[in-house]
Amino acid sequence: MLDAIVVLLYFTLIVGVGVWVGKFSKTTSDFFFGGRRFSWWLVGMSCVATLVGSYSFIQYSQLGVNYGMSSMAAYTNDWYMLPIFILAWLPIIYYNNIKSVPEYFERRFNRTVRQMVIVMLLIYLIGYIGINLLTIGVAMKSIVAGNPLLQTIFGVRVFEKMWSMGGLLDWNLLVPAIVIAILSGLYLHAGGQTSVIITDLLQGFLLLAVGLSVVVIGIYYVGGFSTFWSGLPTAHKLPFSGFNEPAKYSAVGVFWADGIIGSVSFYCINQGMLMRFLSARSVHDGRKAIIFVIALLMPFAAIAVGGVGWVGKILVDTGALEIASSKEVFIRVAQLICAPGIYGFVVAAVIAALMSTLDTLIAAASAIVVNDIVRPAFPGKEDGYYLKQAKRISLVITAFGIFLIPVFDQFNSIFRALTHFTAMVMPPLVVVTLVSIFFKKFSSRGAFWTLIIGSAALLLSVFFPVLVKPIAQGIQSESFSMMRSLFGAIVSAIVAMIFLIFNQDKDTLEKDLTGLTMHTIDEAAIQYSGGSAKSVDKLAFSSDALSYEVDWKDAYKDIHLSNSVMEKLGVETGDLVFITDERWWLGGLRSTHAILSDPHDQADNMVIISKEIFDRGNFLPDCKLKIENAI
Amino acid sequence: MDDRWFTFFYQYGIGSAIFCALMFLLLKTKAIKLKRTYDRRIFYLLIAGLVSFMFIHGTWSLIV
Repeated sequence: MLDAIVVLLYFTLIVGVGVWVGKFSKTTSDFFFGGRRFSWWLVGMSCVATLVGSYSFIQYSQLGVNYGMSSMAAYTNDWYMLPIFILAWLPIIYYNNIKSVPEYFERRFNRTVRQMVIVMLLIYLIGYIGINLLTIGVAMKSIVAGNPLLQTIFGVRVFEKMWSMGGLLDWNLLVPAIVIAILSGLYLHAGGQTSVIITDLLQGFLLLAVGLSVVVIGIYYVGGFSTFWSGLPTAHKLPFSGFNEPAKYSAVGVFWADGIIGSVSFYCINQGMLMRFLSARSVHDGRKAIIFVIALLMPFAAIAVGGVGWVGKILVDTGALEIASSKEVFIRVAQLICAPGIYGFVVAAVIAALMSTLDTLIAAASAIVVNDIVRPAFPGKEDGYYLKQAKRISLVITAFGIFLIPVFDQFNSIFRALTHFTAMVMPPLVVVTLVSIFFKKFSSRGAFWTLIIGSAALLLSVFFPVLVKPIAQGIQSESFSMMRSLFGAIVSAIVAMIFLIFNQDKDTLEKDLTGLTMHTIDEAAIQYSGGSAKSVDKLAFSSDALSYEVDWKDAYKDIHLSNSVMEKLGVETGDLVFITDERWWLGGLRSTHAILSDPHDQADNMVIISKEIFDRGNFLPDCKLKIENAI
Repeated sequence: MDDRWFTFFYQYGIGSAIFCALMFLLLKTKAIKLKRTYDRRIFYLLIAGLVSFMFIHGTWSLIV
């Protein structure tokens, strides 16, 4: 009973908060990028909720019980590729105001490459939504099936009574997934990325706190840390699994598939993650957010999702727990060691992991449909029109994802085909993205054929795994699934290099690529900041808290500061500045960017803003503002 | 060599080589300029982060 109350309260809180913050979402920029105003800690914390996916608690606990602490490897190997994200890709995307990955490819190459990437990413994202929803169903089934109260809450019993369908549909799997999809769709429709970020912040805290607490409770349950540590076999205590065995989870496979190619695809090409970092108030905050995530939050998240498996290993070895399959270790251990009420939090944490990944995927797919299909097809409309379409499309994608659950559940071959497809899309896209930003001379034709040949080679390797064997580094497997991404990346890199050396088309050479490659990031920053080159070479400064006055008559434009404050910030008239409520803990919820107008001649501690800025920033009367150099 | 150390040196050998190649490209294309205080801080922070991960994983392997 207590568990059910906790789950109900959790649902109410998340949906309530998600819908409430929807009032801060007034434009498409708010809907997709949260108005580009959030602080690094908010972006970082919400990222963790997204990174800990629907499968994480189940999958990593399974890895934990089977392979021990090497279950953390995938969460702690992102640093190698970090420079490319924080020093090249993020500033390029952010300063150029690029709204989607395909949009970058049109600006960098041409429309054909963009269209190709749209198709690849949409199949990937929508397929991934279906896969996630099915995973949600499977995860929730193991929680709900034996619990009559939770079955009632999720409405499983109602469906079972109304439609038996001859046992064709598994309501224990289907109904909780539908309920979670509808609730995610509901708050996403209300506030888009703003709702996603705020709810994911709460969900991130919850899943980290609960995951770590269950691990601590588990260690206490088995007799304290020394019993826990001495009870684990040596191989289970190591940070990495064996070099090339087991084939399904070898260290070399995790390194290439996850640490190198996976990191770039996840942080650079995953539209959902990209949108999260684009919602930061500045490139500086985006950089701080990702360092916060990779250096601090991911290691803790790795313990939170995999630690139960380590405890499970001791319990299984000592005979305190019997499990039919390692897949069920998370739920079984949680049920065994958690008191009533605490288990409710565990269920809520699993739901948090499920919802926070799902909402990001739906927002990402909706962003691509609106920015890459609707906008080019219906150009020049008011922003309100696109916002309306974005909200509608997010609901349609949610509904389509729900439709995919029974399809994937019934027809395993479709599920497998899509899983293969997602593995085939990313390596060529990773290579094309990296070569595009590294080399100015990389041509549209080169990008096009790299994508085609790279994907074709990967498809071929599914039917002829022997192709992957030369680079498998001793892994004994029939499918070489973990090394396939390295194979795809090598083939794609060879094709890209051939085109780079032998085929430089005139269109690409003559195209204005300012700001779109690593060579011209400063130019992009200058353009973004309003044209003052001075600000690029300065460190970001923030003003003291200043009182403000709203110019209701529109005698003034945008924002006016005194001369001395402008000097302190290192900005000039025409530069972009960031205006925020002085209360840091709001994380930028009440803030906006604006172009600086001529200095005013009033007191230094006074800011004058127009009514439009006042509304856009959701400012409250009688609070103080801080001004920051936007670069 | 013990499998655990082979794995460690393989990962950090190849991983660090990729990391250094990326840093070299970033410097060569002037995506970062070490004469700028802000860029210099990020540059050293990134190197410190890699060394920290290497140190933690190395110490961990050693203790076990």
